[in-house]
Amino acid sequence: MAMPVNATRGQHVWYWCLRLFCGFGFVFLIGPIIVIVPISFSSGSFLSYPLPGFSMRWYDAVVEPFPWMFALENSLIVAVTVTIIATALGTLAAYGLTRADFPGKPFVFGLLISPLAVPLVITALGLYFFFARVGLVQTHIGLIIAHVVLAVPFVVITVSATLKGFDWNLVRAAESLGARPLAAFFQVTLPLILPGVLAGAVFAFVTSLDEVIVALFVSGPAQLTLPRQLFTGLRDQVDPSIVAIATILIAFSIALLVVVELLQWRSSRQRSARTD
Amino acid sequence: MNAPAGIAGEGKAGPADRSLETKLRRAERRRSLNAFLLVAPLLLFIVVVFAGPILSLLYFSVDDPKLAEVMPLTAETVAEWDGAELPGEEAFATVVEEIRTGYSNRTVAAAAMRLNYEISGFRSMVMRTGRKISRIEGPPYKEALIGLDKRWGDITYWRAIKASAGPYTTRYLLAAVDLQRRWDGSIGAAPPERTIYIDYLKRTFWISFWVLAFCIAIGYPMAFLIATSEKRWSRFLLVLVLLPFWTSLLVRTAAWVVLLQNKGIVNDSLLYMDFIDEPLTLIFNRTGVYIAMVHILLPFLVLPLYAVMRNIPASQMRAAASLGAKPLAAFLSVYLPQTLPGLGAGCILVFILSLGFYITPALIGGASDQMLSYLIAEFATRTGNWGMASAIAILLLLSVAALYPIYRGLVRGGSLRLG
Amino acid sequence: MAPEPEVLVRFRDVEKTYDGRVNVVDRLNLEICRGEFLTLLGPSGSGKTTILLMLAGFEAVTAGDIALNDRSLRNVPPFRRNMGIVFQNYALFPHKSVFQNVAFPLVQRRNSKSAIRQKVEAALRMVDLSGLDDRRPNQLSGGQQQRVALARALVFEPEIVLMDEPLGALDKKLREQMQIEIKHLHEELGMTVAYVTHDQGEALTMSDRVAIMNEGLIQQVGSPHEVYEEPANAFVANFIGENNSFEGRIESISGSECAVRLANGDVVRARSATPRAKGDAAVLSLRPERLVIDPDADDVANRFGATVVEVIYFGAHNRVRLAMTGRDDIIALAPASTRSDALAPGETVEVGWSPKHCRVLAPE
Repeated sequence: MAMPVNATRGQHVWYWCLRLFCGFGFVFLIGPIIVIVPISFSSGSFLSYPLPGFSMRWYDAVVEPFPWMFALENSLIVAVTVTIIATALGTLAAYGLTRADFPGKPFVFGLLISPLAVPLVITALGLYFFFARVGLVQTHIGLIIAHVVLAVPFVVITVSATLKGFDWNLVRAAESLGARPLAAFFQVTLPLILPGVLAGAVFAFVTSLDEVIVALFVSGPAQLTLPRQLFTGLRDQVDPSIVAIATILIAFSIALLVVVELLQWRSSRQRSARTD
Repeated sequence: MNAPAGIAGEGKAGPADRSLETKLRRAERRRSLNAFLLVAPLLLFIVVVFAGPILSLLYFSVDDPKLAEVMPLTAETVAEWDGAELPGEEAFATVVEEIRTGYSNRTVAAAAMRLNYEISGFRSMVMRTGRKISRIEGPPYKEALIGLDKRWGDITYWRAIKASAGPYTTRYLLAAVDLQRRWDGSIGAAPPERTIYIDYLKRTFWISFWVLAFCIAIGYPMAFLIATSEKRWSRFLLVLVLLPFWTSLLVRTAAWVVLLQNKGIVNDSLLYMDFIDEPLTLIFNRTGVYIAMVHILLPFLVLPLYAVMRNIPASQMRAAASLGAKPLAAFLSVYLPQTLPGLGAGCILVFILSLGFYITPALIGGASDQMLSYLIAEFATRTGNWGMASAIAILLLLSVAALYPIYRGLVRGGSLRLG
Repeated sequence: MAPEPEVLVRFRDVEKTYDGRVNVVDRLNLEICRGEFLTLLGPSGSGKTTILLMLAGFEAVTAGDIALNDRSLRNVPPFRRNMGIVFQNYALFPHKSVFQNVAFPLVQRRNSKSAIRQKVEAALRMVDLSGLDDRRPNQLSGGQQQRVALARALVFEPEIVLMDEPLGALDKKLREQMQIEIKHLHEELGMTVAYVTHDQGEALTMSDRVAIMNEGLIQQVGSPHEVYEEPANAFVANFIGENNSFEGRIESISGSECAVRLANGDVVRARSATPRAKGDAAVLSLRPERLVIDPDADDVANRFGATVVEVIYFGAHNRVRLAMTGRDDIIALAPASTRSDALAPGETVEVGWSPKHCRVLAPE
């Protein structure tokens, strides 16, 4: 907010109060995430300042095969599989939802994104009972299925949003030039909606990578994931190796944020290029 | 598409036109079907793996098969009994026989567990009876059983068996709202030692309410600043909101654990600056829960608000000023009302999300800061009481569902988009 | 005799810069008189909207001063300036009804309920919107929204009404209708209007005076007739209306008339408003409707042979493109007549114009 021109004294006071207050707000949001990073490089084992010295010892603990690397491996296996399945299913569904009307479409859309609205514990409970009866508790497949349920709404939403701005005349043009529907999809539609699909995929990946409640319910020791190990560690014994893994995850989220911002920037540029 | 409709509309609908119409309708139907087929795989998946299991919670909350499975004849006998006075010899005989078989093939424990939900101590009483059941060799069973344990002569235990007879029960659903069904079928308040669930519900709403209040107080000015700043500043500030949004919930909770500990950064800094003389207790209590939950949920309020505020043209406030409105009056009568859809959507979002919070209270809160989700997890994974877990899940789900239509209305009314 | 006009707003040496290097408004000295309709006309980026924003108090003045009723507006916040503004996209409050929108300035001024009702109803009647009190802005057509914005800006009887391209969002027909209506309102109420537009037709139809802006500088201020018929420079001549311009050099001067030799050797007699010297480079400006085909009157001192290149039929007139004086882009607007209708490309005609309709201007 720029200072208003010809401001009164009261406006001046307000202007600075608001900035100060919001400054605290932003520090509150970002501060905790930044302030723990240096602690991961501490040579001591106290979780506070001043740091006794610099060392990488906590990162050495993190790269030990158990538990962190084991959890990381599990998390990545699950997240990558979830991303592939959720992106494929979600994109297909979003395409169908935007291509034509069929009876009950709003209801179907609502149903597909309903996992977002239900508290995670309830989803976890339902899945737990279901998996218990079909023998999927404490299996990788069970965990993957559970995470696909949670991740797929994000793909449906982002891809649908991208397709809403899509110019279907381009598909008609491709078909009029002799492309069969499938060829038109892969050569015209998909490249153009790719930023939306990728953004959905990133959302799906993060959802799985970050998920802990459902994992606590349906998975066993063999499916130990990173968030679950973090949860256990935080509950039992907080040491700087947790801060080290947190730092790695923060760096990872910064990278993802950049990727998503770039994707959104690209798709908005594409859209504006079309209208120019 | 217009041309054929126009021809038909002019009343010249000859046979040729009608066949064209049918053809068009068939093509339209084919398009619909194709579109639906694309959606079908995901729809099937969600119905089977998500909607089905959620609906099954309804079933599990009334399902009560345990006693009837292990002691079918007992269940049958007490079902016919009116519960007014101690049952007759026949019922005692059935119970003795079924405990005898159940104890020898080790199935009785499940039934005893179920009975324990009704009266605590019933489990050990059944198990003890099982251990000594070989002493009863013949009738009269009534005296023999009461001889083993005096409590078999107490009618309340028999009524508990009747209440557990299954196969369906309303006890879990009633218990979730601190009620119980008495032996005569009437519904009344549960005994005081079991009336904890309404407290949890109240606490869940109370915590969510305060988290929301803090989020509004901090988030509204922040969203306003982002929406009205110069472009490069607003991008930067937005990143400051998005980064926590993208950071793992556990990482953020971990950060707060580190910060709020008695020997953590917050206390150390305050001590260092001489603001306090001894460490404040910030963790494992309500304060810590509020701090961490507000931190986690704040972006969910700021982002929808920002989306709405961004679309309010600067000329609105200029118009208000040019018409003579002082800044505060202009804000209250022109700006604030236009942000209400975004504010409402953000509020409901934050409230719904915080109703379901589990991880953060579990890690940062104390015993008296746990919410409904914690109860569900406890019943499901620790005590294995599926009925109670389902009943509380339904209670939570209803709380959320009651708020959801408001959210939809606000989102549609304000044509809101996230991000 | 008209009374001496009373100055309401005075810009004195006003400058505005955003980056400290380029002045978007430069050396602005302008007076707006009470009761007049003054239009700021110019291409986009010429600084006209900035002037309006400075007057309204939404932009700071870098240098110089703006005074209202001889009192400086420095440090007077917008909400105390008492100016009605009609914004480009109306800036109607979407959450308020038509009535509430129009009542807004009166509520701010703590008018009594009955006074508000009376004034709002009068204002709505004035803009022909009676009976739409309870509608929301998004339930109104563009033209109706425009009228609400107008009523809202007028209802509190401001010192001056500022309008920033208020008709830009309307289609052509509606725009022309609203031009007339605003003009009539101005005449009836006698309010002072500062109007910003880039549409020269709009400026000419509505204004008492037009100030033509380019690159932050006022090029000419005058009545619509003056700026059209007597443009002060080549920019004004080209910006307002259609214009044929010829480049040449002054050969002789006699009184207010001079002879200009064009590049191809032809000599044109024209009128010069500003004193010029022999040998100066000059640009001649000739309106297409002053270029007569087959002239027969005696006062047509300039006569040339021309070849018809193209004739475009416009109904009431024909637009004829001619090749003459070594060029092929000279336009003549000929009223529809048997003669001009019969013109065909390739035909040779005689054309001419009076020196008093042809002005000598300094080159840009």
